[in-house]
Amino acid sequence: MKKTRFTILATLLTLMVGTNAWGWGRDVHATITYIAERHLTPQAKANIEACIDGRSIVYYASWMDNHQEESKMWRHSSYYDKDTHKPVGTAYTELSTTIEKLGDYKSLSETECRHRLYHLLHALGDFHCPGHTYFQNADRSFKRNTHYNVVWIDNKETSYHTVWDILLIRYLRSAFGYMDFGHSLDCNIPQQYVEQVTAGTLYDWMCETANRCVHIYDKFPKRKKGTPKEELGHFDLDLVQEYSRLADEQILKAGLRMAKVLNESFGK
Amino acid sequence: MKKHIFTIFALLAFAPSVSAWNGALHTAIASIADANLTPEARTKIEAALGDHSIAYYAHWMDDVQHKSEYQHVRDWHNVALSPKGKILSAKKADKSASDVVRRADALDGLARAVAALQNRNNLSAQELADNIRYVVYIVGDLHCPSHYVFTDLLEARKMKYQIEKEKKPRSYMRFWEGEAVTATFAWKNNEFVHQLNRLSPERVAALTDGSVMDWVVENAKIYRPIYSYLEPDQHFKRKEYRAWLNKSYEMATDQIGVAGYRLAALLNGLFDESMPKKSIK
Amino acid sequence: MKKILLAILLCAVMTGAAWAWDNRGHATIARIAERHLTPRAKANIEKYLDGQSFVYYASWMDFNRHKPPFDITRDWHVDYWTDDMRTDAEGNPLPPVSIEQTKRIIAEMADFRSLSDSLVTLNIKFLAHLVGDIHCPVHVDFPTHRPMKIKYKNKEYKYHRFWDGFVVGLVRVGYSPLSLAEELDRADDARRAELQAGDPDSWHAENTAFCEKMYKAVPEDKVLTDAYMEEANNVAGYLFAVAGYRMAKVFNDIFDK
Repeated sequence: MKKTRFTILATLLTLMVGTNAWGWGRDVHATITYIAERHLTPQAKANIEACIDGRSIVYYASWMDNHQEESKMWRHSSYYDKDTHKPVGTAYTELSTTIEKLGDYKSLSETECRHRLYHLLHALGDFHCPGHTYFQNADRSFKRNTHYNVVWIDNKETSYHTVWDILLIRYLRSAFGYMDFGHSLDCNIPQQYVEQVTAGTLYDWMCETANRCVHIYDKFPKRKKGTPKEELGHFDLDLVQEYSRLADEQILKAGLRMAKVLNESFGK
Repeated sequence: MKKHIFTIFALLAFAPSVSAWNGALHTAIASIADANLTPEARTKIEAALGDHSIAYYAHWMDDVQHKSEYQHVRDWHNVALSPKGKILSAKKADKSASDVVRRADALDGLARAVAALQNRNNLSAQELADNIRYVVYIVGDLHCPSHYVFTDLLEARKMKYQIEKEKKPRSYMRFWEGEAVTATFAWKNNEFVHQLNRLSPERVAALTDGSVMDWVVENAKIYRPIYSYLEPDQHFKRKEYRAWLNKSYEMATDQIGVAGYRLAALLNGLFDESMPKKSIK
Repeated sequence: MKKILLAILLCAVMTGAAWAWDNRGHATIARIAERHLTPRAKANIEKYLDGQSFVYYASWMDFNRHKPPFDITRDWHVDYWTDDMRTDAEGNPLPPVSIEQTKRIIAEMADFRSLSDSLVTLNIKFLAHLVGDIHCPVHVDFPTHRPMKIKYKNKEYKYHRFWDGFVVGLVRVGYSPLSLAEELDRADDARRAELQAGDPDSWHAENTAFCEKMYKAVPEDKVLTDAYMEEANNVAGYLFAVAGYRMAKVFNDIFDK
């Protein structure tokens, strides 16, 4: 396991603030699962679809967001404990468990198999969302009276989280559906890149995301509530480009990794 | 923070419905049908449509009905049914019947369009294209739950619901014309094909079996329960609304696919000699 | 709530709308081109894009013209950026900037292997956009259309912006760039070869004729009719297709070797 200098807080924002937020927007989750689907082996694809009434995995990409009641057992934050050097909390452990359980999916009940799949199809995507995996000791958690507002390119104040989840992705490619997006990002990816990206474990991927994305919080530090708009960080087109590039890479990686996990579990 | 969370929620849940509703779903239905046309039917149809697919003209009937020369299509959207699900003829409806019942003439419109296409040698190029586009549109509408007018549930058609923090209540019937699907799946037409055009040949054969009226009667059974999904003037908290959407999105979305298969069966029967003809009755 | 939705809508709408076909248009054109690349040209191009499709970069130029070093490309999208640039000091007419640049890049790419990788990548992004832009009717310099405003369904639009962003979207609902490309890409091999003939100059001449025709077809009261919209939609559909075919030809000529 890779050592990190920081403790990691990987979380679905949801429970931290005690209300229901979302991860990536629907279009991103659909894109990630679509890229994954493009990389499934025929055997894995057939086995998976047999578990979900012949539907495409894309259909269930946002099941967890839509069915919050049924999926609340996975909606927990988790972080990396600096004393024990072990990840605790359930976002990480639950997803690890899900991956492990799906490895022997035939032993699962039909319902559990489905639900574990829905969980994987969504949560692995959110683990790659720069706004969702970050370092704890930089005190980047959301607390009362502080916020992460920024000024978006239209000169309106918005939450930084919304920027990452939605605005950034839509801005440059407003007309794209998930197939356009998937096709564009994953047109003719070199095999070498696929192998390099999909090496490692969930934990490595989580660390990598946190490491790659830590700078987005340095750029826009946390503010006290009521900070005037002029003093907030402002987005310009250059930054939109730079960050959407980062987001797009994360999307591609999430898709490729999801395919790897699914192929390993269902490809037999 | 809450406000922002709310914003995110709002964006994800509702942004798709702001863009075109209904038209996009008609396009989706026609795209699925297009994927199921036989080559012969497709060739003939696209020649008649000026080298365009049926999807290209999927919502055309809606776009032209404001013109005086197309005013006859304005009533071709709904079907009227008795409480027990028997199809009622709008033409024969009593003068005292409600306007919405007397104007529920979609089946008659479809029958006329299909009859015209069966004798298409008599049609001008314009009439041929128009009648194809009528069929494409009306079969779509026949798979939209809110287009089924049950005579005992006329009041329920006026139902509205209100979502927390929204100023105006929303129309329940309008919900079924778009948001029932798009609040959950904001797909483009090729994505609807990718998601829904995957049923087994046996399942497709079962769905497309029978006449158009058989389809309508079958649909009526599936659609009638929607009136019990909602209390009059129901108020939703945000979270409740999403949970409530979950009751219906699967059925609503699947109907897009069913409509596509059936439209293809109807058009194949009309334009490909080797395919079984579909009758209205 | 409304404000934010509006903001999103505005984002979506304004993004590409200024001075170019919008994202939908450019991506559709690039996708049509991609469908007609030879396997060798496609493989060569994708080597420079890390395995990504150039559809991804179809609107890149629109988002990279506001600052150095690419602010020099600001004028490349249209015939003339400002009115006073139409003639040189002696009053001789200047060639349209968009055409001149397109031709220059094509010439530069003739021997692409002698160029640095980063320049080839950049030129691919340029061509994936410019061949689209030179097929946009409102990019032709036709003196009076710039400030013109029109109305459609009780909304007022700038004529230029209307053509760039709305024409196809308003008439065809539910399509994505991929599916619209499939819809519009209907010419058989012979017809496609016919449409691909010529060079940027002759393509520009054809586009100029469309520009003039559609401008003159705007009713006097500036309220667009259904007939105008149908015609505009047909013209835009045709131009998307030919722009795609010609972009494919440009890329095949360069990269199929």
